Amino acid sequence: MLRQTAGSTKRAKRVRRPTAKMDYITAYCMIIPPLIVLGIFVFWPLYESLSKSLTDWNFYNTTFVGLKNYQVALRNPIFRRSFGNIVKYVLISLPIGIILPFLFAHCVRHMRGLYADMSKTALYIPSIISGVIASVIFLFIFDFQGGLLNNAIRTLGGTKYNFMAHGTSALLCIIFTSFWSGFGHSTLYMLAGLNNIPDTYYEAAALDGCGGFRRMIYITIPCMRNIFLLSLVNGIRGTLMMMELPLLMTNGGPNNATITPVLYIYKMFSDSAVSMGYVLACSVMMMVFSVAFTAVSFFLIKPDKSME
Amino acid sequence: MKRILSVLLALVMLLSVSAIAVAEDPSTLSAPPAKEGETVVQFWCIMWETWNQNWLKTQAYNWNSNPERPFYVELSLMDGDTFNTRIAAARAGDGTPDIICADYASVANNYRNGYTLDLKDLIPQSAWDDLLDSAKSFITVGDAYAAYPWMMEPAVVMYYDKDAFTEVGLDPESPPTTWDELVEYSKMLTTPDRFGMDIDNTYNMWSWTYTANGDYMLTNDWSAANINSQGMKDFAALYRDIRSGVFASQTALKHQNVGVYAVLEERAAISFSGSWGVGAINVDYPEKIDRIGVAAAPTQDGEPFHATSGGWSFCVDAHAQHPQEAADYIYYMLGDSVENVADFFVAANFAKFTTRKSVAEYLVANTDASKDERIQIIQSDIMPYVVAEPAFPYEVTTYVANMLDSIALDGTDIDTAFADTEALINQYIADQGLAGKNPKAQ
Repeated sequence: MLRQTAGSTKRAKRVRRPTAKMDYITAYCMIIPPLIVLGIFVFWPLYESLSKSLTDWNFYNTTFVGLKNYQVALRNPIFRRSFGNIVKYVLISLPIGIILPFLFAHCVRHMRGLYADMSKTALYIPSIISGVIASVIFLFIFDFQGGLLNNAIRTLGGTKYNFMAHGTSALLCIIFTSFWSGFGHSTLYMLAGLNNIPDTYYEAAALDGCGGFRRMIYITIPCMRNIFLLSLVNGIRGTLMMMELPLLMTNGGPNNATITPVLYIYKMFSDSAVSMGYVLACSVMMMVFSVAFTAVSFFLIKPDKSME
Repeated sequence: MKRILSVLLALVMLLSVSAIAVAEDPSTLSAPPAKEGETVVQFWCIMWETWNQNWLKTQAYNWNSNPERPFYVELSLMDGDTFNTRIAAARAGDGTPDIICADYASVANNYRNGYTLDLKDLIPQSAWDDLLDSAKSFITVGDAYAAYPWMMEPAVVMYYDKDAFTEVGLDPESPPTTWDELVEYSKMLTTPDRFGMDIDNTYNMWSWTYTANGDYMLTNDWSAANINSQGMKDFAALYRDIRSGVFASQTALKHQNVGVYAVLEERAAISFSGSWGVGAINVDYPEKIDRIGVAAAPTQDGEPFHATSGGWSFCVDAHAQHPQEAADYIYYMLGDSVENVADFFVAANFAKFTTRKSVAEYLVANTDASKDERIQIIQSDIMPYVVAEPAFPYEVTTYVANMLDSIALDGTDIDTAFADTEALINQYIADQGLAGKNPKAQ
């Protein structure tokens, strides 16, 4: 191929077309650094965890026990209960965590000027507050004796209710706190996705006589598929890893109604009488569960390639 | 205007980040540097109250300030969760410090796991002979002395509001001594804004169940559950009454660690916490010193209550680079000078209790220890009856705590709950291979 340089009377320079082999070499050179980092901080610890989980390991002594740690963990009623709890967390919090931010993003999308900036800022503030502080705030709100919510109930003539004394209400309180913390983040994702949908689609639909609802169903939601998947994956990951909220708000109680796998693993890690091999076996099972959950999400949603 | 506001906001954020960046590590503020080539003993400890940290830093500072010191001590203080994580990482990477702190529940397990050394031959015999029998039993594992005990603090002490007692016509100098009295008084003390009593359901259950059961939750050789007694079932019935919501909250108002604050904040008239609560009153609510009474927790029949004795000790790590030096420093801090050790308990406002006979005598003769009525009550009514914290996995305690909550909050039948929990604990013993593994029974 010949290329004419601007204003040049010299012969056009012949540009060598890159071969597929050069592309491969370049690509592999570019992925080697992140692979090295992944190898050190992800793959090697994973290998060590897997191998140590097959042993009765206490740092200084190692005794091979095969799959015994896994069997013991699967028989442990608290560990099994924690998985049941985390499925409840995911099934309740995820739909709310996707639908409400999606609807709210629609409202913010059409705001302009100072109101839009203030809304986005106010929306995002809970996301930068740590889980520990959020726990303290909502413990105060849900407190039985002097909490804001019970005071409001009493003012309205109702009877105070101990939210943390009952499994279902304690679970819902934690879910609400988690939703409050992540609402702003999810809304901004949705807003970015909505702003990325070309206006021409809506114009064409309007010309064809589509109402607002049909435009939502046939244009907005399909175009937002990748954003929904992103929110779903982030939500699953965040929910499965939840620890600080149940730790601080209920310590996994009442009667293990709010304990999560990560909280259970954390408690076992802190107990000097428990083998580290057992703790690692629980961690590996948690990892497998998370990967499986995420893989199912990808399979169900089937992300699209870029619209462009 | 918008640009000025943006610039101002950016400056504020930058300043706040800078403040974090230049904040000094308080654990090394007082330490002069080590000389080149000098032996350095690494000492890791948990960060507690400020006065506690200051005592530890003073020990290191005084030692390191001596120009003829045989080695240098590098003290690192960190919060409890960080300590656990760092120790685990250090053990995994074989980079453990020379000296670590350990609570009495961990001492035996640490030694049996090979994490710590026997200090019997590393510390002079006189230091061991001076220990109280109870303190010595906490750190003895077989024939070994796996740590040197620092202090004792009973985990369950009853705190009560004398003014609230007077308000409802109760004698403020006569706190409840039996369960019946506890329930009766709590009902009288309950108002729309205050519960009669508050109680947690965590490690404090070691004390309550030991007292009710007459023994720990597992048999001595850890081969079977040991909870199915009439005393335990009576306690479960009491717990169910407490959690009914009539005179106590259905969930604890405060964690056991800070239980005294339920009374200090006037959220309850009676609460339970460790003896460290006395220190909390002195520091945070000095105006209420005369108002808050202290007593042993009540029992079913008025007999003595057996609180587990919490507390901390210092161990030498099994992979320490300088084990003898580490032991020498522990002896310097805790086993040698009576006055030096007594300073710690003076700084603690006598809310913690010494493990040495000579220090106890010194405190009574030379300080205000004998003048504090609350400390005298703890010393006379609680300390003689303390028992060691159990060393079995905490999950056993969790099963029992869940059983109590299930009976109280879910309405489970007592006999059914006990049978189910006993089966769960026995299954856990079989799964974890606990039978015969009690380090203090080997």
